[in-house]
Amino acid sequence: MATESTPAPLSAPTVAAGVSGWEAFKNGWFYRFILFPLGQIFGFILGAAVILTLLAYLLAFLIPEPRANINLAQQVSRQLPDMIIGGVSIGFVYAMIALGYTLVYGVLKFINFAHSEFFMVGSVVGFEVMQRISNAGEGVLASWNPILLVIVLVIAGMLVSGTLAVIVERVAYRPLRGAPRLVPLISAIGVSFLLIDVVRAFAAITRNDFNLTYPINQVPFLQQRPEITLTPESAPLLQFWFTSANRDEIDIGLRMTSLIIIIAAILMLLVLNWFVNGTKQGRGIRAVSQDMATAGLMGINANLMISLTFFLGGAFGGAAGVLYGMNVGTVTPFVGFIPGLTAFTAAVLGGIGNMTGALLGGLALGLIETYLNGLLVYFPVLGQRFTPVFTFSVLILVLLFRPAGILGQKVDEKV
Amino acid sequence: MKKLFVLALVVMAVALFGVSFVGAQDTVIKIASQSPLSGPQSVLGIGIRNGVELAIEQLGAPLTDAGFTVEFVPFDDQATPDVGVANAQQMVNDPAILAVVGHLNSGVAIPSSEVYEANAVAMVSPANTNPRITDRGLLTANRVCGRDDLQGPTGARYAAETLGVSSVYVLHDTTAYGEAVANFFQIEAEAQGLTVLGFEGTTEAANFEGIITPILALEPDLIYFGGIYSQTAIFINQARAAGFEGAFMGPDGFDSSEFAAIAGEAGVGTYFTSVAGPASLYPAAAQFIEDYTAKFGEGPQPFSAQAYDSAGVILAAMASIVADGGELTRESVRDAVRATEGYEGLTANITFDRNGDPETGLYYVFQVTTADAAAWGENELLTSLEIPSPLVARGSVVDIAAGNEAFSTLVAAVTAAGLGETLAGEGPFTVFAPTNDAFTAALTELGMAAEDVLANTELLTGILTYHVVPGVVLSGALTDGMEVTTVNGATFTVNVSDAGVTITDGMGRTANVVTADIQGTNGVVHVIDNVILPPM
Repeated sequence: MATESTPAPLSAPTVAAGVSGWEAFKNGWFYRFILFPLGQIFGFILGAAVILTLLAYLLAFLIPEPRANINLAQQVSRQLPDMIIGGVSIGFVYAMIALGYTLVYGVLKFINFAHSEFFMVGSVVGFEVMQRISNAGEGVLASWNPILLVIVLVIAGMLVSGTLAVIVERVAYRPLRGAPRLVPLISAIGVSFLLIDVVRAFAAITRNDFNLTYPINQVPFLQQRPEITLTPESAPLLQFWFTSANRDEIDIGLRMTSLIIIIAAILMLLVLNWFVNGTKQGRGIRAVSQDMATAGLMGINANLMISLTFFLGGAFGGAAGVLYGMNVGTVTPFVGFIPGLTAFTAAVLGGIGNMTGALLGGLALGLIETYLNGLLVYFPVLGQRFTPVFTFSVLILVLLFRPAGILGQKVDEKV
Repeated sequence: MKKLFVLALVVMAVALFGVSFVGAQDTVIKIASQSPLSGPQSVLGIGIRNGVELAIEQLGAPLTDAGFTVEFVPFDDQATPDVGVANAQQMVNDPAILAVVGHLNSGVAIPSSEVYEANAVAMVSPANTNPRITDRGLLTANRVCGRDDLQGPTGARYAAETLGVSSVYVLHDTTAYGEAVANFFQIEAEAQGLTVLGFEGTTEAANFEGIITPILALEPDLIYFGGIYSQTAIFINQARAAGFEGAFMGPDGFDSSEFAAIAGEAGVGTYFTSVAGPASLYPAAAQFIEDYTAKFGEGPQPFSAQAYDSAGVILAAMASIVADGGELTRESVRDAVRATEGYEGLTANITFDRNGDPETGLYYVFQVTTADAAAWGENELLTSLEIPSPLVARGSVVDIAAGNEAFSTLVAAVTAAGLGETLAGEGPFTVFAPTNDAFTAALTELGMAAEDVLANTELLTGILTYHVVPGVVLSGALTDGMEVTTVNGATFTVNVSDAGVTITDGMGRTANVVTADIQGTNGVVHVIDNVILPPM
């Protein structure tokens, strides 16, 4: 994903005379919209996972036995696949939510604190649609193609959350556009509470229930957990791993719902990157984010672009909500709070206003959180309840040294 | 003239309404309920409210016949301590509210009951199992269900003896309820020789992936989760999906049809202990189930029958006051509720001990057999146990001393002084019990032989009664510099510091309180490391 500071040309680049084949390839759509962003995503995952794994083993080297009968290095080796997979899947959820915060911040320079509720609404819509399909009759849900089902649910969540975001912007933020910055912030918090309670009332009236459980158990495909079993024979190069884990075989399992999160998130991130950096509307959004007044003078409908930005952000939040809901199984009207806060942190960590930063921040935070959960459990007194303490310490440390976030650029306040 | 007439009418109207208002106040009595009526645990909370409502309708006759109007005021505590306390404060400002049935959550009941205690509003809980509900010695806090310090161990013993597991991983939800019951489970599990691989608290409500990862690596035979179904069922669902193959066990917080709705197939086979069986378990509750279903359109939830009994206890206490010609006040209702003896409820025959626990509690182990919420009541009852409340199990203050070798000198002295019968009587007493070592040291100090002291009944009685204080004084009620008057008539001074509680006696000597608050049926024992002497 290209950063905003280097806006790429929009139309398919023409190959100028004398330009090498590599240059041409670099300017081609395949590299710009598929190969480069994919490389970035895998680079981030690989980088974060390698660093965290090394840190985990370093910790195990320093404190080999944090508790009686616990060999930390052995536990790390056993948990490694689960920690990476779990971290990546929740990391993508954070990244998708963080994009919503960052997109809106990019154009309006304001934190949309109601964004976590677009995520929550998405997760509730996903449940609602799935439940309705299930209610249509016995076996109806199972008769659907599961891939199609996921696509339908995600699109439903995106449409409802995206539309909701546009409405919220029109009703609660646009009238306050000229007001001091704190005013829309308060308005956003108000919208957040309102949405939670509206959904609570809706769930109470229509279902007389608070815990909304996705009928996943009717779709065997979604309950699968593909597994690869590694043995020293099948993977002789990994002998050291078997030794350190003290196991004869290692199962690497991946829940289908986690796999769906990862695949769907990657596809959607590619599309978003293409939309923002490769289309006319995307150029409009970037122009508005650089300078709203000038963009208006250039004939760009700023309000339309802002609505579009909210739709994109809301839709991504909604999609993340559906995917998250399918993975955790049960959602409630309060489900948005913690992931929303974490994703906001991820956006700040990566550099708010910067889309690549949101992706990096989300993945990094997801992995850090999962590794900490996996390690802290072995330490007396500490335990998993201290995970947020360490996660947010990372945030504070990063901000101390890079106040604008990892990839953020220091922008002088416009006068 | 016309104006005057209008004015007179107004004055008359005001007087009339005023009088009738005051009149109504005297005959209307209100019983409140506090439980979560909204939020994730509302299914159980509404079940409690409905149980109380039905009880007031069906069991209020003795009071309505006596000219009272019994009104029901349900409050929504949202399973949140702050809200529960705020409701309690609102409640005590209505003088017509004499008693309350509640709560669902111990974490809410504990702070709320402080408000009730200060205003003498009797609380009868259908579901709170934390020991601290009653162990604080409040006059107002009662419960009709069992306790976590007996429920947790019941689960641990079942896991060790019947299921034969060898390792457990313990989780809790960090609430007063969940953490305490998980802790009691853990202690008993270790005593039974099980390996406890971890003890973790989590407030996570949706995504348990990070919590499950280390559990999978540790491979416990059983996961115990001290928490409520709205959290634990989601966890169980995800743990199974992540490939965990061992068993699950939990406390009565699992007991809701919502558990089956959320956990689905993953929840089948889960074990849970309970202090309250489903209404269908109790032969006496058949009519209740029918009436409940007819009135509310759905079957009773766990704790609905207990809520019905809680309200029944209150109504019976009120009826007995009225029958004796007494006046219905908060204080009289509070005392009558605590004096409840042999109340025939749907779920148990209820007699409260001195602290408001049922003298005998019923403890069950169930196994979930269904993924269908509608069939929740058909879960298999694996075993049921009758366990006396800790006070009853320990007996009187004399029994407490007699049951411990370290007090053999004290017991011999009490017997020699002929005080045994008095101390085993009604009470209540607070006994500062010196250990055998303390007696040996004191004899050396006084330069007397044990036989001489035992023979000198007057001296012995004087010293022993100096160790007894009338009434129940728990350690929490002690303040620094407090003068305490003993049965002897003389006083001693209590010093409270960070290091603990010390006593300065009539001779200027000091003794440390080693173990505090060992409660029995007729009082409390505090262990001290020195014999204290009255001024001589």
